[in-house]
Amino acid sequence: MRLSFILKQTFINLWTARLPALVAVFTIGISLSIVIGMGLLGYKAFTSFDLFQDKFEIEVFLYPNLNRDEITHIQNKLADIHQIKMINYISKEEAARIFKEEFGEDIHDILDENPLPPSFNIKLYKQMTHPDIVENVAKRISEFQGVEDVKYHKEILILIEKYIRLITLVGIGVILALIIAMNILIRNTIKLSVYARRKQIAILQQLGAGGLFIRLPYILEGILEGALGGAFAGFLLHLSFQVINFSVQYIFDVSLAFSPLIYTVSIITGALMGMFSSSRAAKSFMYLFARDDY
Amino acid sequence: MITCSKLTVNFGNGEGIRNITTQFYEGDFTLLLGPTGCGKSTLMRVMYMDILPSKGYISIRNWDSRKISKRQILKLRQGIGIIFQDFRLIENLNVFENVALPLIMTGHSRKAIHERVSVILDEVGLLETWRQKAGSLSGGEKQRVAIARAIVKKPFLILADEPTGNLDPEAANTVFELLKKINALGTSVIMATHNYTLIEDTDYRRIYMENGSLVDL
Ligand SMILES: Nc1ncnc2c1ncn2[C@@H]1O[C@H](COP(=O)(O)OP(=O)(O)OP(=O)(O)O)[C@@H](O)[C@H]1O
Ligand SMILES: [Mg+2]
Repeated sequence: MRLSFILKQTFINLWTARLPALVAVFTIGISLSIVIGMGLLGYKAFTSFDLFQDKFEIEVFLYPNLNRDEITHIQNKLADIHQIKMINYISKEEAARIFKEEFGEDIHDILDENPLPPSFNIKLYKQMTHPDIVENVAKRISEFQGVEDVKYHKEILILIEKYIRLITLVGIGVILALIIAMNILIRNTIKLSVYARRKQIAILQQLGAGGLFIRLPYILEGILEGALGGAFAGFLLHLSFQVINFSVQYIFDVSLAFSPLIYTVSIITGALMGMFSSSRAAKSFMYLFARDDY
Repeated sequence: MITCSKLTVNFGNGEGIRNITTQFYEGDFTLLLGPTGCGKSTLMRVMYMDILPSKGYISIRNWDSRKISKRQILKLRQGIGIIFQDFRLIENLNVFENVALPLIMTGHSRKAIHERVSVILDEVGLLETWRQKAGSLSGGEKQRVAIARAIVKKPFLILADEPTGNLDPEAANTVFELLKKINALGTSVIMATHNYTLIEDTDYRRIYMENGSLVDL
């Protein structure tokens, strides 16, 4: 009977303060959808950066007249560089074949002889693709005897580095601000509820009720508001995914896949935030408002 | 059952209770008398450890104010039925729920609660009103609900702070008779009152206070 009493109290509290509760639910929904939406975008960005880092290559062009031993020597020296994950040798003939694949024309048909130099194709470990590290490695290699030129897409690397930092900073900033805002909102509705029932709380204390028995209706109120806000956030995300997919379907060939998991995640996140904010609020406002001597 | 030793509560404005040393005995009906502001309510608040003494100590059964924990204070209060002049019911709950509260919060089963509460409501003569909101009752009825709420948990002690203060003579009499009956069944009762006509025919022990101290007569 204890539980049903607590649940009844929770719903009475929610119903008596339904307007502020509704405002809280809507605002939590909007904030949470922004937080989760940004989280998803950030995740997408990071995975595409990841993909790029995986594909990132350095090309090392050699002088055309090197003999086997000299090439092996360079390969061994490359293998000594610990940032390098993979070394792939591309001979003159191989280069001509790739050229034909990419441009559809045989280099021998255009020119009398194959002008393409032999080269090494190098992949670095993912963690070693910071522009400074790459530049360092490239510089070292370019000083090897027999290496004519070292090429890689420096600008893109720098761009990615910059965006990762920007996205992380802005994302964390916005998410923190919204979390604080949600906390304040829930706190405020709990404050109203506790204040409206300060006499009742004092009576329960005089009867010897445990702190949790007294606080639980307010904590549940916060959890419910958070969870409802979370469901609303899921709905907003669902809606915006559809709008985005609809409006870009003629431009890009990509579509954002909405997963029902997002509902689960946002409801659970909302409920957890509600629980955290309201349990702290219930405790502090109980001491503030509900003194035994009224 | 209760021992007060040099019990002092200082409110910081010179008011409160001073240096009270006395005993209250198991099974007794004790009357706490004295003019307004003499410290009766304060002494009672110390008894359910709403205020802890500034000096001296009070011990109630095995609970000692010098070393009681928050959790033990709750246990103590679950063993004491407290009745106030202003009833202190939860007005938007019905009579049944108000009386059931002490049992609900200590986790009794629905069946046990229904049985016990209906017996008690019958005892105070309010069985028919069980569905009414507490806020809608008359003063006398409210106080009988408060008494029912106090005795539903089978307390070892009833503290009644001017329980008849807001009642007409007839209702006051009913309330006092109820308290007498509860005491006759073995529960200790301590009652603070100004209502001397109500108590003139009883030979209960009387304790007089003045200016926060006990008075010897
Ligand atoms: N919370 C408080 N803060 C400061 N002073 C208080 C407080 N409670 C009581 N007092 C003072 O302590 C003294 C004793 O008060 P108490 O309420 O115990 O008297 P009482 O005997 O119950 O009076 P009454 O018959 O009017 O109920 C009074 O002078 C009162 O003003
Ligand atoms: Mg008083």
